[in-house]
Order: sequence, then C-alpha cells, then structure tokens
Amino acid sequence: MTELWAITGQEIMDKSIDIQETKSTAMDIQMDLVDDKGSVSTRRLQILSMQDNNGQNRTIAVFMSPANIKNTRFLTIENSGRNDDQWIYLPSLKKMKRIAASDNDSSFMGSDFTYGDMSDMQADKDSHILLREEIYDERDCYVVESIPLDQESASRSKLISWIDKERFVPIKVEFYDKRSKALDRTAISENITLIDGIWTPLDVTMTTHSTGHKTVLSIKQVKYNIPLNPGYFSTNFLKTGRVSQ
Amino acid sequence: MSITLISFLVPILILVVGSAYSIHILSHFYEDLFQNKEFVDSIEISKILKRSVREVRLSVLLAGLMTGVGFLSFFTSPLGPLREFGLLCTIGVAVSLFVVFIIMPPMIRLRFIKGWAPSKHNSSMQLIGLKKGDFFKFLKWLVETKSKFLIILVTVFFIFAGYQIPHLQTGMNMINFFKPDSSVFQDYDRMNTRMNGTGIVNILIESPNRGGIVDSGFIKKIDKFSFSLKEENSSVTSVQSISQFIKQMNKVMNFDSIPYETDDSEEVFIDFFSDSTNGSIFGTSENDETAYSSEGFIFEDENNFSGENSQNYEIESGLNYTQIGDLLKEALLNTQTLDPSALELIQGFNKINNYAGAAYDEIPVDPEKYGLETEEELNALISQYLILSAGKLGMVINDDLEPDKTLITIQLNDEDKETLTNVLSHINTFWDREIPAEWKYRIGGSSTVYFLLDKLIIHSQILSILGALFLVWLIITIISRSARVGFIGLLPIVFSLCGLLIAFVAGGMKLDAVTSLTASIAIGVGADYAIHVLVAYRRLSMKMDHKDILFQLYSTTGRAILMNALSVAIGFFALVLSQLIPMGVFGAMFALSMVISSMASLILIPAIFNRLDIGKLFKQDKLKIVGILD
Repeated sequence: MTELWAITGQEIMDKSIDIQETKSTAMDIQMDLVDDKGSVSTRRLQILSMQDNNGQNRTIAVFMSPANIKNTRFLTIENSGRNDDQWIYLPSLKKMKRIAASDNDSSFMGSDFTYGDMSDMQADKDSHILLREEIYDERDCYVVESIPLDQESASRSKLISWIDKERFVPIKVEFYDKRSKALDRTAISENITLIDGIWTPLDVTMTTHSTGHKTVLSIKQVKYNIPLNPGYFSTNFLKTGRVSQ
Repeated sequence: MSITLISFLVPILILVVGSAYSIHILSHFYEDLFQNKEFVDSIEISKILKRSVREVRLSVLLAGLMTGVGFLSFFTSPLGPLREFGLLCTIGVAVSLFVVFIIMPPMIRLRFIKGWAPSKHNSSMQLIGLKKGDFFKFLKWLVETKSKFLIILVTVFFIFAGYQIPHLQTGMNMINFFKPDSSVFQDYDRMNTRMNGTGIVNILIESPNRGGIVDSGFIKKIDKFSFSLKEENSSVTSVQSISQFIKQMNKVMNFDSIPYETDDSEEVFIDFFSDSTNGSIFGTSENDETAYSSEGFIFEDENNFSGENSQNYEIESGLNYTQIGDLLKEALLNTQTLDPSALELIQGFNKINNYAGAAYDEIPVDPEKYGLETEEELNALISQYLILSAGKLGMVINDDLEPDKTLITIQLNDEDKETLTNVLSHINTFWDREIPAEWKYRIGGSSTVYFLLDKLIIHSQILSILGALFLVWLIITIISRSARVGFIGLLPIVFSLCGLLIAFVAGGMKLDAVTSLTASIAIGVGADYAIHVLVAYRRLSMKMDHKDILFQLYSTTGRAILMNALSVAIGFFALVLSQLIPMGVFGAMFALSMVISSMASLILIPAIFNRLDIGKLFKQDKLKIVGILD
C-alpha cells in the first residue's frame, strides 16, 4: 500500500522528528488542568535541556508555581540502554536526593500528558504507515499510523498523527489505549509559530476522553539551540541554584 | 433488566403458581366427571367444565390476587434485583391466570371432544378419587377430636418461634454461597489466612478546597486513624493511605537530618528567563560557546540510603550508669507508651540518634524540628514530597500537586458481619469526631456493599412480609366481611413463616438475598392454600352441615392442595444438590414451606372453624361480593 504514495510513513515521521531536533532548548511552560466541570488549576515550570556528545538528553526542570512547590527542581539524565537517572531538590528541606525515574506511562504532574509524551519521540520505536492524505484544520496533512514495534512494553496500541505537509509538524495526534484499543486521548496543536527556525506549537491541548479532563500546555517563552553552560545539568546546580565557574 | 441469582427463580415460581391454579380446576372437573356412571358426551363435558371453573373461579382469582399483591410488595425493597423479581413474578401471575381461565378450558374441551366413557378411566378414577382414604380420615379425626389440643400446640409453636428470632443469622458474604470444599472457597481461605485478605473497605475523604488534603494536621489524623483501627480490630491487616507515603518520604528525605537544626543559607530562586535572577540563561558569564561539551556534567552520588553511614551523633563508648539511664529515659519518652515492648524501646533509642531516619518516621507536624517556622511551610514540604511520586499516587489522591480527595483502603482477612460492624463503627466514630468542618467522608468497598446488602435485605424483607401479611388480611377481611376470618386466613401463613424461622435457626442457615425469598414465597403459597380452603368452606357451608363439610373439603380442595404441595415440594427439594449453598437452602426451605403451608391450611383452619363454628358465620353473612363473582 505504501508504494502508492510519493513518501512513506517512515519518511514522514523521520522528517517530522528531525526538523524539530535541537541541541538545546529553554522553555517556560504553563499547564492549565481543566476538569470535567470546567474548574482550572494552573502549574508553571521552566525546563532547560541539551544533548550531550552521545546524543543523550539532560534536562533540568524548575517549578515556578503553585507557591508550595515553587523552586522544586528535577534533574534528569537520559541513559542509553538503562533507566534514566533522576534527582530532586526540595526547597523546604534545602535537600537533594536521587530518586527512581518516573515511569513513562505515569501522568506528568497530574496533567493529561504522560512522562512519555513529554520526552522526545523516537521514530525507530514504531512502524509508521501513511494511511491517507486529508485536509485538517484547513491544512493539507499526512495521516500516519504508528504502531509500536515492541507491543509488550509500549504504553499504547497505536498513534494516529496528522502531520502538516508543509511544516511537518503534528497538528493532531490520537492515542489509542493498549488494552481496549479504543481512542484514549487526543492532542491538538495550535498557534504554530516559527521560533529560531523551528515550527513550534505554542498551545497543545490534550484531552482524556474517558474522564473529560484536559490539559492546555502553553509555551510562554522558548529558545532553541542557545549555548548553555553544562553546569546547569549538575547536581551542584540542582542543590545550590548556582552554576560553577 | 439482567438475569441475576434472584430473577433466575422467577420461572420456577411461575411454574409453581400456574400449576396450583390448573390443578384446582382440573381436580374439580375430574371429580364431577368421575361421578358419572354412563357415557358423557362433549356437550355435557362442557357443562361440567363450566361448573367446575365457576366453583373454583373465586378461589383461584383471589389466590392470584393475593400472590400478585405479595410479589408487588417487593416494590418497597431498596434493592433493584428484588424489585425486578417482584415485577416479573406479578406479570407471571397475571399471565398464569390468563392461561388457566382462557386457554386451558378450550384445551380440556378439545381433549374430550369425543366424550368420555367411564370404563376406560377406572384406574384414573381410583388414583385421583379414592386414594385419599386413610390419610384424610386421619386429618378429619384430628380436626374433629383434637382441635383444642391443636390450637394450644400451635400457640406454643408461635411463642417458641418468637424466641428464635434473635438467633436468626444473616450473611451476604458471597463466598459463603460456595461449599467449603470448592476451589473458590479454598482459594479465598488461603488469601485470608496466609495473606492480607480479600475484604476491602474504602473511605473517600473530600475537602471543599483545592489542595485541602495537603495539610500536615489532617494527614496526622489519617495516621492516628490507621493505627487505632489496626490496634482495635485484629481482622484489619493493612491500611493504605497518603499518610504511609508521607511518612516513608519523610524518613528517606531526612535520613541524615538533625532534628531542630536550622539551615541559614539563602534559598536561591531560579528563573531561567529573567535577566536579573539566579540561574538566568542570559547571564553571559555562565555560558560560553563550548557549552555542548559533556565535560561540565558533575554528579554527586546521593544514592546513599544505608543506615550505617547516616549517623549524625556518635554514641560515646564507656558511658556511666547515669548516662545510660538518661539515654534509656529519652528512648522511653520517644516510645510514647508507659509499657513499651523491647522493639518499641529499640525504636525509641534509634530516634535519639536518627538511626536510619528513625527520628523522622512520622507525619511532620512540628515545624521547628524541620527548620521551618509555620504550618504552611510544613504543608509546602508535604506538597514537595507528593511531587516525588507524581503519577504514582492515583490510588490515594486525586491530584499530584493539589489533591482535594483522598482514599483510605482498609484490607480485612475476615468479612463476617460482626467484624464489619466493628470496623464501620470505628470509622464512623473516628471521622464523625475528627473530620474538619465542611469536609465529607464516604464509605465504600466490596465488604461495605455486603454489609449494607445484609442490612437492606433484612429491612426490606421485614417490610415486605409485614406489607404482604396486611394485604392478605385486608383482602380476606373484605371478601368475608369478617376481620376474624381475615386473621384465621393469616394463621397458616404465619405458621409457615414460624416453621421456616425455626428451621433456619436449627439448621444454622443464614438469610441472604436468595434464602430470604422463601419467606415471601411462604406467604404467597400459604395465602393461596388458605384462600382455597376458606372459599371451599364458604361454598360447602351453604350446601351441607358442618360435620359433612370436612369430608367434602378434603375430597376436593384438600386433595388438590396436597397434590400440588407434594409435587412442587419434591421438585424443589432437588435443589439441595446445587453447588451454590443458598440455592440448596432455598430448595429445602421451599419444599418445607409447601408442606407446612398445605398442612396448616388443611388442619389449622378447620380446627379453628370447628371451635368457633365459623361455618355458621359464613351462612349468615351470605358474602355478597362472592355472590357477584359467582
């Protein structure tokens, strides 16, 4: 079937991931958690991330709000072939501890996003099939189905992504439940803006259909490929808030 | 509606009810038919059939009305399956009456379309008409000569049954539906004796404020609740709550802390996007063009939770008695009990030196111990503990950062009524007293459902029995225009209920959703038989003397009742072979109630009539309503 198209599903996803890849990112994010009754709870955090020479990500995240968790910091070091390393700093105790890295399936800070959603997607973990081409939200899109190669360890049965043909940015993604195979969550990207040469969805709304709960993730500030002092990604910075000279 | 263990009984009951109605009509028909010595043509057979239907029409209609009313009383039940059962049975009774009066007579006429010759049916005649002999003679003798004795005996029986009421056991634990040697029961038993058990009670506590659960004082209350519940109820094997997690985190995070020590270093607040604050990515001095190198990544090994290296104080060797005594006193104070066990004393001793975080194995409630100043700062600390396990605490809180609901899960290795009563009473007493104003708590879980079902079944059964008895009395009273006859009509029913009660107590059987239905069925069947006897009495009292009524009653109605009761009882007794205990109990009790009800109707009512000369009352009363129906 794939021979019918000029481009394959694999090529689309490879390109979509490649053009969004950066050496470093700085983000200021607001998450609005909206329950089924419309009640909104807001959380804000800033994230710095960069790739080391081995292509592994290092991330430091700092909570800005709510007030009782302000300045709580996480440091995550991605490891190839084994679990990530993670440390936390608790401002109330002024202490840092190494902790077990969060499960990719777990909810990210009570939101509708999982830790897996927040990490970088890897095109080689799924098989991608171009299902069709169609207009979505007035944009010409490829519709690609991604099925995990390792069904056992995967957290979902499949993804269906609407990739903008011109910008290669996913503007809609459907997540299908691992067990029931039914549509579980839907992510919609809006306000897609060119920042530092990268098309960036400034607002992403993730809706969990079974609960009616949704999370609006808004990027307030973002910088790509800026030079960052590696000292940010150290336990010393995590503990003291200061970068060693 | 879906098929349940209860609605499964509906077709069986309709079979019983329907067969009772048809047996009454058929027995009267054959009785009249077999009195003929010559050939009877189809026209005469139609006349006999018409006469037979007319004679039993009233009693069958009334019996149907009573049974329908009895089943309708299930509508008072708070339990959906019981209401459905009542509705289905009522519809079934209506359909049975329709079949008996509209469909059955043409079928009988069709059967005898060529007429009937007596010589061909001698054996049937003997079977149906004359086998009554000795047994009914005995009943007649009993009623005519021992009526006073019978009434005294029944009164004693009623009093005895009344004394058995407190001993009646109830139980909705589904596992008791299975036999002890079944694999389901054995597995359940293993889980309760070797593991934490299968019983679950949940408590959901809701705060009116977002993040309200993050309150050290409230979490301390959960901790106290968990401790006291386990202390006072040996069946409680585990209490899972947010407090366990907070205690564990507090211990781990303060592994190397010194109580009441303050850290005066300035907290650095980070904002990567600000020019002026710490951590700014725009501060050029902290960034350079070679930043993509991994050389700058420096990590300390903080993965050290071993107690051996966490000593903050060194215990001096060579302590004198006074110093050892002081240490023991301090350890004793840490145990917060006057009579500590050796283990508690060791734990108290460990707290002195925060050995392996022992001094922090608690819900933080004292800000100063943590170098903090206010309770709000303590609550912020708890929020930060929650972040540590973000995404993993869905079992106990509804939000990782600002929960307003928390779930406490209690595990039990015993789900008996007494255990559940104690546990639920403890929960209610504690949280009624301790829950903050405007907060709410709700109790759920599988064990609670069993417990509430148990209460509801008893409650609904009492209501349904009282309602049905009243309606039966009302209908008989209206029809007979005598409240006394109404009460007499109730006697076989009450007698049957008392018999069941005594059988349940004596057999150590428990009332549950299925077995409790036997009471309702006993009322339905008892009312059915009582009506047949009362109407037959009325009919016969207008034709003959009282001393002849009994013989005629037993020859017609009595025989029909006995045949119906025995055939159904034998059929239902087969249920004792069921793998489900309630079904076996139901079968046995149903069979018993059929026998008791039929005997009570055939003996008790005539015995009382014999003493009160009710036959005369029937004659005088004329029964105008009955006359209209006839």
